[in-house]
Amino acid sequence: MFRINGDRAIIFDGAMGTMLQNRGLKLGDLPEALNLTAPEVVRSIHEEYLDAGADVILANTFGVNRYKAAKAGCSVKELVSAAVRIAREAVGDRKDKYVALDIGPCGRIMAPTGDLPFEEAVEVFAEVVRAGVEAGVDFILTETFTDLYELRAAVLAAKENSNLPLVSTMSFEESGVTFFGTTVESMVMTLEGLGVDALGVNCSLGPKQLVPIVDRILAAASIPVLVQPNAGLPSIVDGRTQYDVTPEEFAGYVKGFVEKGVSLIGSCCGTTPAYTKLIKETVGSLPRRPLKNHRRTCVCSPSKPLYFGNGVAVIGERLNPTGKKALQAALRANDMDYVLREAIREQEQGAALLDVNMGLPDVDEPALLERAVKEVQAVVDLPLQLDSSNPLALERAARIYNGKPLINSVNGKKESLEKILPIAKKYGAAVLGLALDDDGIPDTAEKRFAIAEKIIAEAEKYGIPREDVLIDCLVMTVSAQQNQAAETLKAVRMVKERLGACTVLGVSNVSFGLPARPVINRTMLAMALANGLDAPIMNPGDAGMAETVAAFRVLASQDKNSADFIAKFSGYAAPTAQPKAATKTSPTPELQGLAHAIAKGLKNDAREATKAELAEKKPLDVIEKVLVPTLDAVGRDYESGVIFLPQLIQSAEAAKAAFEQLRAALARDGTSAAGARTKIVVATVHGDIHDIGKNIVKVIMENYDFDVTDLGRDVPPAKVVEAVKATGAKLVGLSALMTTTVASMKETIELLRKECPGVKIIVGGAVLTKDLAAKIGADVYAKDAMASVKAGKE
Amino acid sequence: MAELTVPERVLKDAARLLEMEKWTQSPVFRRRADDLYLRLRGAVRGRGRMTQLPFKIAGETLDFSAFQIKSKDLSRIFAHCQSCVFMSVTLGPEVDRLLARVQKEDMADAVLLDALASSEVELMCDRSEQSVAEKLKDGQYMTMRYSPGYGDVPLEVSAYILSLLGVRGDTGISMTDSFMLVPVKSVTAMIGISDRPELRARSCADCYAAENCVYRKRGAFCGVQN
Repeated sequence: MFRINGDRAIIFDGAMGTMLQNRGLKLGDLPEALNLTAPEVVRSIHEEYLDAGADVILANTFGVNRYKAAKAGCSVKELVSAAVRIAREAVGDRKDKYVALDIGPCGRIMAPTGDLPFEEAVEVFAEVVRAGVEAGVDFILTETFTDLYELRAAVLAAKENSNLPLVSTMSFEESGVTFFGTTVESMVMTLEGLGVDALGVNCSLGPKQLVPIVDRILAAASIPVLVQPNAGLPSIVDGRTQYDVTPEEFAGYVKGFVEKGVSLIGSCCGTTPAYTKLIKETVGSLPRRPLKNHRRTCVCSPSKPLYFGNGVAVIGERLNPTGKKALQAALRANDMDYVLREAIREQEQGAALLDVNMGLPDVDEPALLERAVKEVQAVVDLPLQLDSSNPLALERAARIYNGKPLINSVNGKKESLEKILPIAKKYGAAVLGLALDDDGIPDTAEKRFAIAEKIIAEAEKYGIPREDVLIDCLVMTVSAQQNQAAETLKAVRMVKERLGACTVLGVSNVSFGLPARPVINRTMLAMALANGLDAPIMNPGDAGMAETVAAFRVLASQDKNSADFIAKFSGYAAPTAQPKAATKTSPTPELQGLAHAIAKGLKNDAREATKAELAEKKPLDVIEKVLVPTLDAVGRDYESGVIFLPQLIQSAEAAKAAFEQLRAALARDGTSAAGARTKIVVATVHGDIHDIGKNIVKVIMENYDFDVTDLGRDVPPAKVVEAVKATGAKLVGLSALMTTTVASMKETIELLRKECPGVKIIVGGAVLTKDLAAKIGADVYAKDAMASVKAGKE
Repeated sequence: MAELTVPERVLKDAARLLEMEKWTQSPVFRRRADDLYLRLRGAVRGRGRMTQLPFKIAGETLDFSAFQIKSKDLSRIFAHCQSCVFMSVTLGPEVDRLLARVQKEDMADAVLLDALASSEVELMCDRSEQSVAEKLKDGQYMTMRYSPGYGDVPLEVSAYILSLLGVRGDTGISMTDSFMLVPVKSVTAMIGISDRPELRARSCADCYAAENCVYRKRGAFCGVQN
């Protein structure tokens, strides 16, 4: 039985690919096909590494998966079972030698950047894992990953299909992040959360360049660490790849790694058994450093690790429809852009993580939360707090989350503990525990503390480290229960001091029912921070609260030399009655009316001018008398070449800012403009994953008063038909970028003709022409966004 | 303010793609381009790979022994070549993320950023090409750089190029089922090594966009590879 813990370092073998190339593997051929065609070659390489002293050999399965196997004309199962059989033959009757199932990246890129859906990736890896388990490997190694999301799929596949020990590594660049932007710390947080048995780094760099990366891994990890460097950096000499580190130098670095605490050591590209032999001689008898517990309360996205307790971490609260009519309307209309714009704004306003809640009575919350998490993660790189009272929604969101999320929430009720804690454990999430139980919210700090203690103890029973539990001591409305604010603050202090747990509070409830709520809110916030609050859930755009956070960070010595504070307030003027609107772009000239703002594409001016117009006019009047004529004029200028695409879009963006104000006003009035707008369904066709062109069309059409349903990209024909039927749209816009995807555009049109007779189909995209559009059965070829608007209006 | 300004060539190239050549002198346009270029560079994790392989031409087929490419255009362009450099270049996946994000922030910015990124990857290709040129021996010349999708070279050829260059997938580039390269700002290309000087400018006849090209309609040339 393979044991990762022991009293000396475990030696892994070295490069397989390099050795196979030296023995005649042709460039571009699948190295694993040799398991079937030349098993003796593969076996002899294993034997050489074993003879050199390797404790572990990796079966020749690195590149095996259904995609590559299909190209090589064989099955995953036969490639894996042959590989494991060959490795076992090489081991023969040697004692204490182990065979690992070696799993590398699958060669496709995960959605949303690429076209590989998360669940398909899980299944692709699961197939390999099942074949490896059946063939009898001793443990599983997932290695050389550069995309944390793909690695997460592989780890879940391994965990769901085997009980074998699991070791996972990623490849880093010299900058300390992977090609996909994953940081060392995010890798450690995510993998430890998922419960791998060891983690580390391999490939891409030589031992020298890996030193700072290994140091960071050792400083963050609490489980054994594996390091497999390349034989230095590659250079191509006479058509052959050569590496610049000799076995002797290599062994010198390896010794340093083991002395610092690395306990599994091997080598990667460019190495040979000569390296393994020297590694064995140098570190084979060194004692292993005991593991250190570096666990801290933390969450992450791939590029942003967040440690709680390091300073105030603001949790943005605005991605939550409760009490927000405009967001509710957007979600009901399937308008995720609204959510994404809010997310971006919260990040710009200084949030460190974002709460995402999609709870509306009449929506499919699990599906919506999953979608929102995917889409927010595609554009905002902050870690997320998954917020729902529905365990199914939490599970689906936690499963597809990229990184280590915070689950909001569990509480002291038995049912909640039993449902939520297993989700946190399986998906490697931190969890927020609310200090309430079957008897409700206790009215004393001591009782809330007792519930917090119980939640942490229960989490530990599920194998969740106590550092992964944060506590919310719950803010009560002070107008109803005035003495409760003091109890909440006391509980925060007790939890912080006695349990050592990090604390979270949703602050703004405190002021409900009182005038001047911001005044109460920011004072409560200051008091809570002084009592040890780590992470307030608040509106990061609330200027008063943001100022309190900034000031607190100075007074608590978190903002070194007050640098952030000085930067924020360097141009400080005493507050006036008129709060300044947050501006992103260069200072804008004085307001000159909505028409001017739109024509010039001034977004902030358009927003302010709309507010001014709304003081005097009805929203519909503003739309009909100002917006529409201005946009028509802009469109004519574009068509006649007076302005160009970026300016057209800029005007549309300015109009969009105006429309946001107008829609909010309409929602307040209870009137809706939707009935009057022409509906259109737009999609980038199946197989096409680049959609900037379609998105331009969408922005422009929305601002010519079309009600646009955007299905996104890579959309199968059936989904287009479904949306046309659901919305009753009479117009469909399809985009295709590649010659290869015009075929799926044709397919979509054929299905639409059959299922939705009478719809008008507009097509566009780089490879289309008027003739081609006619040939595939479209009604109109639109050469650009304005042509789509025109075609839509006819 | 931006500490980094957009290189003149990238700016001009981007302006050309947007048909906004006249605007390169506008300070507002420049400032915007500078800001976006700074963000672009923050996201770029550029990666380029290349290798050289010998081949033989039989009729319209280029035979690289491990695989064959059937193309009338290539057999004409590579007629005097015995070997060919395969190259891949990418700006990396973080640029895709940035493009997705900026599309949500401001579509006009996104269009400009997209053009800047296209120009940046083109610049990277030129640098790779330069390094090929520097290694040429006496009597060796380069053909034009030719990518799958030009002329009659099928997009599938990118798959060969990527598997040739990507031991352990380290080109950083992947391909979808419909032969799109991911990350989006990626290029695969071939350059023939000829025994005589070659015409290096690509003509409109080889361009898939020729039929809809606004430059051609104006009687002008887009400038790619000119």
